[in-house]
Amino acid sequence: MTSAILQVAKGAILRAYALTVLLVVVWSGYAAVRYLVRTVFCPPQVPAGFLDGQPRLEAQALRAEHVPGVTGPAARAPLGRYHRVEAWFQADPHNGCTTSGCHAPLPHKRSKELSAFANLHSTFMRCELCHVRPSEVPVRAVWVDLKTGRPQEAPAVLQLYRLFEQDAEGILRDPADRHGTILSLLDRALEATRPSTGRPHADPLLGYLRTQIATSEPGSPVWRHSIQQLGAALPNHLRGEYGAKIDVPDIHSRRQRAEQTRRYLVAPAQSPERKAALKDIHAGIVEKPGACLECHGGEPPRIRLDHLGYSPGRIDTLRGTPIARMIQHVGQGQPFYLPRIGGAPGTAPSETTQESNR
Amino acid sequence: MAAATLVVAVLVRPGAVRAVDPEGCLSCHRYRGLARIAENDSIRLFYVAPTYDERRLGPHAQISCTQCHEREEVEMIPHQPVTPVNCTRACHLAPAGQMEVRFDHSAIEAALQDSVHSQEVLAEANRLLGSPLADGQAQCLLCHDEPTFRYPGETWAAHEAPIHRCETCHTERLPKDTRYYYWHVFARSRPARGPRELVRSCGMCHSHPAILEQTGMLDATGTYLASFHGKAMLLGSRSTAVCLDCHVGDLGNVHQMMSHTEEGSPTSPERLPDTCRSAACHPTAGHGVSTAAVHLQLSTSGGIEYAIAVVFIVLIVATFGPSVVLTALEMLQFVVGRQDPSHARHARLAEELVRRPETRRMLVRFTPHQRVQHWILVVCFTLLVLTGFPIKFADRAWAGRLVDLLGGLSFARQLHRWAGAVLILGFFYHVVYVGVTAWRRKQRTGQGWVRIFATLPMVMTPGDWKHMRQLLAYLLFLRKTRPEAGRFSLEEKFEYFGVFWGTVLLGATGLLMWFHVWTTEHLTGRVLTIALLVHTMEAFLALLHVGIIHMVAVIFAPPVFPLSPAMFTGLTPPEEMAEAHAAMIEDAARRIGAGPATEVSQP
Repeated sequence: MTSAILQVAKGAILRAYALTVLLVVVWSGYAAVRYLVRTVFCPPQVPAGFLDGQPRLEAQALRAEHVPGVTGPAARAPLGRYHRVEAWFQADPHNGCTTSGCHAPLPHKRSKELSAFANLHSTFMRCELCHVRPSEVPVRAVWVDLKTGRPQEAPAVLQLYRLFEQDAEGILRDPADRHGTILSLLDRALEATRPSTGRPHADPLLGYLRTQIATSEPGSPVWRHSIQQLGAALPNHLRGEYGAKIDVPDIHSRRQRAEQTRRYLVAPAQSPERKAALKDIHAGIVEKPGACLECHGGEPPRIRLDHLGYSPGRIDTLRGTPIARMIQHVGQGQPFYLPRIGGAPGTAPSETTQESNR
Repeated sequence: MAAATLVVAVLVRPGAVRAVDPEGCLSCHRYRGLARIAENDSIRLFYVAPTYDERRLGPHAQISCTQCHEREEVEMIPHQPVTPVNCTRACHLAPAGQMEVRFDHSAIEAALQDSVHSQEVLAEANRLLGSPLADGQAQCLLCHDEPTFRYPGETWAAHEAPIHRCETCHTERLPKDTRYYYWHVFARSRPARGPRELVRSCGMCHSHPAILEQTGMLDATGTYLASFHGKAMLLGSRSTAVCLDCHVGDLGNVHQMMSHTEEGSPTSPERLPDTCRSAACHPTAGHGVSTAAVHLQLSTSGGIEYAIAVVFIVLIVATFGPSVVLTALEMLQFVVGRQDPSHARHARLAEELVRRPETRRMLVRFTPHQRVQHWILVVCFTLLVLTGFPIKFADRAWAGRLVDLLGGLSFARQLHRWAGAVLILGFFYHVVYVGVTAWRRKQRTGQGWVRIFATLPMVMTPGDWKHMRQLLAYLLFLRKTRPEAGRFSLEEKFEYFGVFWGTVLLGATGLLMWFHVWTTEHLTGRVLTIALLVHTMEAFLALLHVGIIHMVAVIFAPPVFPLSPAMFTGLTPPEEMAEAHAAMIEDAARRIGAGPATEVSQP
């Protein structure tokens, strides 16, 4: 009985195997001949992905998984743009406002003059932080991982910056003690930018410095030089490539809004259900928050930047007078002028410029 | 406290950004999200990477923002609509430790106007591209973006060490912007863009469907990438010719490029030989080198190349097609569980014959000499495929990885050539072997040469065709019994014939390309084009036959899986013998006195 079953199974396997070989032979034969015919009778085509340059940066690129020059490196800037861009945008797959398709990942567009300033924040802040009326101030905000959507500690690059700022003396005095921490934070800072670029070291400079620091003796001249370079480079990495965003950890209202969004999306257009869902979604949403000064200089601050891992120096910069004044000017519709350090030939600083520089 | 402040200032220096950005523009523009979506759904991105200025990554890192952007227009925040940057505007350069100098690009504008890329042509290109340049934007942006010193990306960090060496002396006492100087010298000692980036840059227009349709030009990038140079470039060669090497030439200026129809153009028929034979490219090549095709489009060429390609297509369909059908039908027999009625008897007979030392040699299908020849072929063929096909399929990701694995394009090429040379030697070994075998037979039988060669085991005979008809009838279920084949079936003889003439063809064309200097001196460059075409097509045909048909026959077919031992022992497994060489079994049985109807008695 058993041998009969084995015989049948063996036969079945043999037939399946032969059928697989048959299909592979026929398919590969067909594919090979088709390829040859194409190479002879059709004009040669540029391989897919070779001309990866963008004629222009389209909004839909922000929703695509990988677009050279948006989420990853590109051979050149889009035609018509002079300044090179590599990976400047990190997608946020857990932001319902944008993933629902209702709002663009760079959502502010009403005011031509101000929308870019507002969008600047959308690369490291979730919409709710400004657009939901807070029940308490300061708002209890946390960093959330862009990949998982889960709360995480402060981005490594912020922690690194804080370490350099607060413990600079210690780093130089006791390098061996700080070496491991610096390296670990640097690794995590590099990791945070990796998904968007797909390169071994997402940032060439940080990658280079990481190698230099890792391979040199703590406190040696090479180590000290690299640490110094790292210190100089860090301010350039506090500009939104954290792999994380600041969010209000209100799971309940987020789930509720997700359900409301689902209801909105499945309801027929113009139906009362759809309108009701839209209203529900935006209940408690402040359309024009006007909250810039609440973070940038206002008292009490809307969010505790120190709790979010920002260093005292960085907090001073963000909440300091020049930025607050600029925001105040711009918000009131008044212009703010560039400082004239050195002065351009043949022009005198205007009164307003002098005012802004004071 | 004071000491701590000093240390902080040394370690964390936000001021470092300001040093190259006196107006502080990067305070805002260094944020990646500084952007908005315009009415036409395009992104207005105002982000400017601060690394460019700070790390001196390009020649424009020396100039501040307001050298290009009108200060009066951008000094107010938020900025009002600004006039597009005029690239010919004079700027003030202030190198470290030197007097300020004025510079502008107006000479380039004048040069362009006399070139094939005049303002009118570029304006039309912009229109056909869908107007990526807004009104008033500099047309320079169609080809250029922010100029970076070459290899600014992942490899620039490797150049930090020499910069540090420079900084040993060039400190405050001998001020020089060492980083800028190093990069500028390093970068300008070679073209500003890498080969791939350069081809991409030209391809933005020269492969754009609307532009090709309007102008009737060939897809320059597509044809280039299908060429020998293009494939080498795709596989990482930094010395192969890219667009500017031919279209600008040694002494030319990229902004004075001319059409190949214009006299004096480096690609004009008169000057092309000199362009190809320039010191940097093929200085030893013959005058005829310029007739080798770089932008060959077979489908429209209509020449001998096209005819050869069509002949090969017919040849491949006519030879490979039937082989695929036969293999598929053979597999179908296993799928439906069909077996020749006398298969089991033949298999048992073969097993018995193999078991007895005195009859075993009668079933030997491959002599030691033949096996050695086969293994030379196996090793060389494998190496040739591994090193040759990545070049044919250079545009595939696996090709680049395989070439890297093999030690780079240069080594892969050398390996390919020497494997080919060994294969040619193996071929001569085979020819001598066949000659000696035939001579011995002539000595033994006294037959004429024609008869001797006509009866060599691998030569097709009318009987093979009859056998093939019967086999087809069997495989198509039109006949109940499988015809009995001898030592070599028609399919095997056909494969042998393919390998024989394929080696001749591949060897000859390979040598023509290997010794391309001789070819261009004594023949023409076009011979190289034809040789490459024939070499590629024949190699493809060989790969199809060996990679699909032969591999199935000796590895994947159920009777031999996982590998036929025939090329190790000379003996084919009994199951396969019974399936494909039953006549040989019958013949052996007859010779030892066991009739076809009876089995060999147990010893």
